Amino acid sequence: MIYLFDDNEFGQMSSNYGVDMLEELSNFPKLIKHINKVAKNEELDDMLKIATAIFIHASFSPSKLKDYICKKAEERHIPLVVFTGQEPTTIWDDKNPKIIRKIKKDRFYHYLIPFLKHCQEYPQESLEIRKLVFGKNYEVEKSLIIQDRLGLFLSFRTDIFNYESDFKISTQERKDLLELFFFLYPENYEIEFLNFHNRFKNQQTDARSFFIEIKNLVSTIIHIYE
Amino acid sequence: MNNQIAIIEEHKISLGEKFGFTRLEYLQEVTDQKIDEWINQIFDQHSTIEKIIIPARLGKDDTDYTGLRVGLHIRLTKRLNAKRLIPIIFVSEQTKSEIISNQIENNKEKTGYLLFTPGVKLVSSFDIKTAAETFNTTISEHEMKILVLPKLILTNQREQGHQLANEWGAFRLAKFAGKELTTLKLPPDLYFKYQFAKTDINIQPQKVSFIGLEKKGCNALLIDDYAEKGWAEVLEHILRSHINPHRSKLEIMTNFEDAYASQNYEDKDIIFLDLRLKPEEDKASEWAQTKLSHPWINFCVGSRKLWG
Repeated sequence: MIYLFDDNEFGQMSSNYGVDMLEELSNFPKLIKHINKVAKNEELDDMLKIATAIFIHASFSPSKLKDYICKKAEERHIPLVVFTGQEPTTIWDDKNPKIIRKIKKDRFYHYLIPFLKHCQEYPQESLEIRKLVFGKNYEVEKSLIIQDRLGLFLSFRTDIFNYESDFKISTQERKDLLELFFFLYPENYEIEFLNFHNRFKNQQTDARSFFIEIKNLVSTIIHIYE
Repeated sequence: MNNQIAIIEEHKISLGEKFGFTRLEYLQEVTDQKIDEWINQIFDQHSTIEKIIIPARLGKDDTDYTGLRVGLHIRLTKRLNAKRLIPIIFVSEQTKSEIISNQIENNKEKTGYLLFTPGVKLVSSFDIKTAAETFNTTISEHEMKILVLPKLILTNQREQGHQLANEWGAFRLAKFAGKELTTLKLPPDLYFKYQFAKTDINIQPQKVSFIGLEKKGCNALLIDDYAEKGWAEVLEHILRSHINPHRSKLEIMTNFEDAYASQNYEDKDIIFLDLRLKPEEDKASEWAQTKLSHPWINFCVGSRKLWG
């Protein structure tokens, strides 16, 4: 069960997001539960025992209770998302990919229902908060980020590009490339990637041409998922 | 080494080194407060910068186009003076239209409109060097006012809009009164900077209308929880500089309890009363009607202070 802690003091959940969020949440009774106030500590401990994720408003009061909930979620490795009206950009935890320290509240609610629909549709998948942050077009959005990242990297390597050394195992660039193949061929991405890898391992190519290959991969991903 | 061109970079990528640009290491600063401090520091340390290259996305898994946010801070930070008008080259493989569509579709802040203003160019990674050599469009103050600011769309990101409205109102009134505030620091919110930049277009210090208290001086009372954040300073300035410098005075109350307990209203010439005085928000009007028979009360709320 996902627990959503929002005191909803002024009824914002019903009036601020285009749809009545409380009504929308009621469509997912087995998946998410909204908590506007914690009456007893025992009640909270019971929730934390079965929580699959904690989503909590940064100003959930009292603040000590909010801090306690966040601390417990971290200790128990429960995915945690803190949403707030204060920060314009998304702040991930430096070390733990299961934690988002801050995400803009409007954006959180904008993505929440599509995220819950996805969870309901694919109950076998483990809950990934990345999909909440990137929205329903996670694969497209992430591919575009990878494209920008690899573009900068390859333009830096223009005169000295070497596929094997620049895309070594365990480098971020290799992981990014592999992720594109995962989006393209979820069933057999390792085999497809190996074919690609072998092709470029034995082939002289320059950074710009290699980047065109990457752009083609991203275009195909966009075509598949949009 | 071309130290007049700077590039913001992360980790091991060093186009700055490769092309001889000044490398500015991005420090994963994503809040307005941090970005504001960071860009002020950059331009203090590198006074020779005449052009800047910024990846549209900065930071780990950046879905928010934080680079565009940094660019907007450069354009809207008044302290940077002429440096805020330098050419900005953004780097992304997406087109301007794709970035804006992405922001609209995904309910993000519309920072992408900056890309449609003069003095800004969007290029692919492989075109950085050419763009750095050929793109030299520094904008003028006039272009900033008529071609840049009207095209930007920025919205308030603070949950507590009331606080921002108060700060903004104090600055705006100070501008009318020709007063530089010392008790309130300019908030680093992008939205605030944007409003402040736009306001300069229209607002000049205003002349006052005399209200008949020039000899006696004005004895005023301000009841406002934000009194110490700019309001008292600017109101006191108006009373002293435009009515009577020696005999005007301003008494301050910052909470409803003090105001309610006090009976000393009869000798006041004017009372400024915050209608949303905490903790009894929205009851100030009712209270004023029952407790006061004072003829001259100026009701204030944040939004009125903001736009009034």
